[in-house]
Amino acid sequence: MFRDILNNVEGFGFLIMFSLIFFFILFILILLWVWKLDKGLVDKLRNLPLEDDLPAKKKIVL
Amino acid sequence: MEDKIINAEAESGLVTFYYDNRIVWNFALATIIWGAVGMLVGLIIAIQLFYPALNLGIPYTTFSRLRPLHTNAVIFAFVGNCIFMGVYYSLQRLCRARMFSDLLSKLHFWGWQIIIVSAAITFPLGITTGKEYAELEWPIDIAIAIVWIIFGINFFGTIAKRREKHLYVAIWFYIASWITVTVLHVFNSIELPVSFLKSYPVYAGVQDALVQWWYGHNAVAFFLTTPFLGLMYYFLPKAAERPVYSYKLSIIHFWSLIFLYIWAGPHHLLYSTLPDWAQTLGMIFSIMLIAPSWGGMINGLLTLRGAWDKVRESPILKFMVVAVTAYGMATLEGPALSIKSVNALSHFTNWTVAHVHIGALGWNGFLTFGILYWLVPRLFRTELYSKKLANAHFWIGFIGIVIYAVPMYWAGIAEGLMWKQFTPDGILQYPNFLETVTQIIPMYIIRAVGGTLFLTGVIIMLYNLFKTVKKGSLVSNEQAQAPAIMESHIETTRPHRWLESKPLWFGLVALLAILVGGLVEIIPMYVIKTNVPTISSVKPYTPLELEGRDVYIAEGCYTCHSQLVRPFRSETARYGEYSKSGEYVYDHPFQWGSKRIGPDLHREGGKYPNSWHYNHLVNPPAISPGTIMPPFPWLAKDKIDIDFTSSKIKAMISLGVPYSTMLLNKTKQEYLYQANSIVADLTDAGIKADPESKIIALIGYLQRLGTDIKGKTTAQK
Ligand code: HEM
Ligand code: HEM
Repeated sequence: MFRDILNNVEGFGFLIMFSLIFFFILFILILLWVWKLDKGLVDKLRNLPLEDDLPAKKKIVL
Repeated sequence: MEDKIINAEAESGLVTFYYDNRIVWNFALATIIWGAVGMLVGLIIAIQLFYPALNLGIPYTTFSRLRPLHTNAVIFAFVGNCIFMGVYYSLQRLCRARMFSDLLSKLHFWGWQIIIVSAAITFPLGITTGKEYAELEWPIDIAIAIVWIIFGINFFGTIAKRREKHLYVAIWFYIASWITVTVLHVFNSIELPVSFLKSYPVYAGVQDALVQWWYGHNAVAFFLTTPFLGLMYYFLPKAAERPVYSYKLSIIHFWSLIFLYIWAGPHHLLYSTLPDWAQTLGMIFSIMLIAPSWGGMINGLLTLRGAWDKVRESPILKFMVVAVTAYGMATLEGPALSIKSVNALSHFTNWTVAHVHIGALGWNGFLTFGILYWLVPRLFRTELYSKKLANAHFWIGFIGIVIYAVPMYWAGIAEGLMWKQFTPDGILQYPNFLETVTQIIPMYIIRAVGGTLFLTGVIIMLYNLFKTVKKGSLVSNEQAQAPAIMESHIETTRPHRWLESKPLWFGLVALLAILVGGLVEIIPMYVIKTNVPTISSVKPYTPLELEGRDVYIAEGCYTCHSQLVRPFRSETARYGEYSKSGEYVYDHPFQWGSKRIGPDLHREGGKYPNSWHYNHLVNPPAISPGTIMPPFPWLAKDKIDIDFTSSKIKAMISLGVPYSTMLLNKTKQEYLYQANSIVADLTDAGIKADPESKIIALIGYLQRLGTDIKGKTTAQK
């Protein structure tokens, strides 16, 4: 089915191929990045909206 | 004194500051009021579709002038103010900082409201660019840009002074929305002013169409969707009192969504004269959009896992659950509508209207209501006046959505099929377009009932929130404390420097992600000639026709009529030769339309005598019994300012339309020569008309439409 679609677009098929490959690479990069994210950080980020109206705890910063 | 406090705070490591709640409340109030107004206008035009006389016989309240008012009011006033309300509330808290500047907050608020008021004045007056969702004229476009930049400075300024080094995913959605709307607004609004309230876009025809729908689609994507996803990621966890289901999923949701969305514009132009490759790109990326969209929906719904008992209890969560589900429905349906064979049926029909309002009423409307019920009592440190009324609102609104959407799906599919239906002998079963209009009038009536219910819900909310506000008192400045992390560490360590510059870095990547799609689709349309084949017999409009075209735009004829015959047998049999891109090269702006409440007009020229058009415009039911087209009797009285026509020609010349400069000196003669010949023809038919009246110009334009290639074998080269 994809071949049919691509054949239909005289001469500009490369644009479509380029765009799809570009997105594919980007997507893989995002997956890798997300996969490698630190668990502790993710947990902290996840809870950010819930902490913002609690009385602030003193945080230890690096 | 100040120093002492700061010293004391420095010792404890905490700073005390105040959130600006007043600005949040201002935006909330604007959301509620404009929401009610915008939906009331929606209801008025819904009723006019079966009872045109509701316009009371005056121009300012006629369907075609009010429809842009409805769309702009609900999108930019209702949804827009809700976005600002949510951003100003959540950003301050997520950054643990007051807004960057109170002055900018106020300028933003009042600037935006003035823009809305100017829209509410100019649209009924027929002052419009004629480009869907970008109808505001150039001075207002500039005002929008200024207010938007003010918002941007305030927004990024707050991020820069934040005390929480990490940016929650909601803020990412806000950043991407701000950047993309900026880019879209600037590029789609490049226009050449001819007077204080009239301009022509620099693009023409198919190029204008591509830029317009690149904008139009992303108005949906980056105004109705991404900022609201940011709100969802903040307010849903807040209301449910539990964190979002998967933060990692939200990151994937974000990046794939903003990257894919920007390519999808051409799905509004399927089977148009846009080159195939661009249509195919739009279609493929639209279909891929389903994945991140559903990722987001599932993430939202799973946030409530194990809390369904709470949902049963809380009207707020109920609103939010339906909102997220409606988002899922609209984003399942959207990709389906982007498949060419489905779009062949759905395009130009009420199916699109049903799709729109599942998103608009369900996703935007219900999420807004949920947030308002959660937020307003908090701003006023009190409880909601009545949970019962909120529940009533929920059910009335929900039934309203169903009664709105179901008849529109029905009507859409019915009219789509009727337009395509052939008899066994191979002729159109419904050759008279009017038959397909009168068939669906009962559906229009039921839809208006749905709209009435939905609006009733809003009024109940208005009352409930009013009573809530009366009970409490606004905490204009809410005290908060936070460790002052940013100040103390930025200069010292390198990793922190990098982190602090992250929003900028992040914004750049987001900008790149959205630019790629736009550039790949749009640039080839300009640099590669073969994308718009020229047709030698296509000539610029005469002065009369050009003025007539401006009447067509000002009256909003494009809100009901398309000018695009698609290459289907059913359309060529009904309207004539299918449309070619070369026919539109002098159309600043293009007028393809997106809805066929009435028939296509691209081959209208020469179809009927001038007298038919005259009588039809002044009183449509006299010519087409049962029609729902509103009468335009004022066109016979109102006059064209013919002395100004040469300025318009001059503007067209500078946009590259090949008029001879000789024409500039005799514009008026040429105009009157053609006008008088139409008037003479009308006189023969027993009609007395003024050659300078708008109706003559409009008839001149209608009689020109599509005639450049009519009768000639396709003169494409
Ligand atoms: C009481 C509620 C509402 C009613 C009765 C209503 C009614 C209508 C009607 C009659 C139309 C014209 C359809 C046509 O041309 O055939 C329309 C179009 C539209 N409405 Fe609404 N509306 C309501 C609420 C909303 C809301 C809350 C939004 C957005 C947040 C919205 C967004 C739109 C848009 C974008 C269009 C243009 C659709 C298109 O071009 O296909 N509406 N509405
Ligand atoms: C994956 C997501 C989506 C895709 C792929 C999509 C696709 C489409 C398609 C194909 C059309 C019809 C174009 C035509 O035939 O004229 C359309 C129209 C529209 N959609 Fe969606 N849609 C999506 C989600 C949404 C959402 C969530 C909303 C609202 C909040 C929305 C609002 C609209 C509006 C306002 C129009 C009417 C534009 C016009 O013709 O004036 N869409 N969409």
